[in-house]
Amino acid sequence: MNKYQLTSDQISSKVAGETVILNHSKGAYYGLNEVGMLVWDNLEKGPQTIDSLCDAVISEYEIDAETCKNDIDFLLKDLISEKLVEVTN
Amino acid sequence: MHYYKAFGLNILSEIQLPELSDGDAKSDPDLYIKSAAFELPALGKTQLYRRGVRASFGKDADENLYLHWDNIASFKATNGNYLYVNALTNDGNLISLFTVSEAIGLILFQRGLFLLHASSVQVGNEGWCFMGTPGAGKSTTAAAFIKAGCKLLSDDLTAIAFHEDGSAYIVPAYPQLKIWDKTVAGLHYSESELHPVSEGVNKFSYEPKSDFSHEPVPLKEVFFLHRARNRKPLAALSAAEIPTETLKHFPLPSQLLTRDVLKRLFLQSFQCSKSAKLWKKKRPDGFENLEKWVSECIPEQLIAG
Repeated sequence: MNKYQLTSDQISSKVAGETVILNHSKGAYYGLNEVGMLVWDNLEKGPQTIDSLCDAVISEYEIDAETCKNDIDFLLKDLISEKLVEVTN
Repeated sequence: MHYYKAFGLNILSEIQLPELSDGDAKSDPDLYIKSAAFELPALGKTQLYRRGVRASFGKDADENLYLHWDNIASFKATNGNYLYVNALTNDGNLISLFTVSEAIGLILFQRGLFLLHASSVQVGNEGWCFMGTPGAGKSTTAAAFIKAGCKLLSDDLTAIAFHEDGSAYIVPAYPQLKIWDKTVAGLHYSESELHPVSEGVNKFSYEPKSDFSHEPVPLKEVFFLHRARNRKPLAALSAAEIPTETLKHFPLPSQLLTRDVLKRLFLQSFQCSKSAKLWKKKRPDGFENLEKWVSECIPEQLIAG
């Protein structure tokens, strides 16, 4: 199963409960919503499968597994298109 | 040879820099300022203007940084410890003015300091920093704090460094604050404590030479001043605004903002936010309100200190 990891193009910092990300090769800044931050925090620990990310979200939010997986898939695609996350095998 | 002290550096200079504090001939120089002719690499226009002259910037293969101002001077900064000045005018005051602003900024940049286009003062034991677009009132705000008994740390260029524990501090610059004639009158400065600025017709300079401390001061409050009536008078910066707002006040050519530098500034801006509170503040309307705000800040500070 594919794993997702943070790229070397990004650095992030957390302040007052908010995560701000910089893609330094592009010079672009990003913010994340609450669930996005939870996913990001898990990616910071190391490469994750979509299932492990989904488990982390389900343990904190009342959401069914299928919706959760769709939402995370959507978020990961966004993060990948901005070169903040990449797929590793 | 002249010995000076500025931005925490012992300076040995071949040219006169009367703005700076006198230095100690016995201490080893951190920075050598030399008068020399040198070749310029390809230059690009910058967003920087001083005295109506636009600066050009260049970089060579050895990471030397160059600033060129037509008919004033070219500067070459090497390794954070050599600044070469190629004067293109005989006016020593003008050479000095351009040396102690962006040119010395290149040296501080090479030494890894976090630089802001800002004025700063010492309030109690704390370093307070004021930023804003030109005309937003950086120097005027600093002048009001100084009138109320605070000490000047820097005008125009503020250098921030970090202790080993990560806490941020302001490195005092040099004893000069330039203020408009309107500010002189509005804050009731007496002209006898000021010097006229050589070519600037309507600016004066306050030069607390004997009373200027070079001791670093912890960074505690940072204000981004604005004049917008449709925004809140005081609001904390959101997390996303911390790197972007500070980046807007980067005082050197934007050509320096390569990916590694962006990364460094991003981290340093958050490092500042761990030591200091960062605010967007509407500049008080009129001198009376400015002085009222200052007087409200100062007793609070003394009680807290």
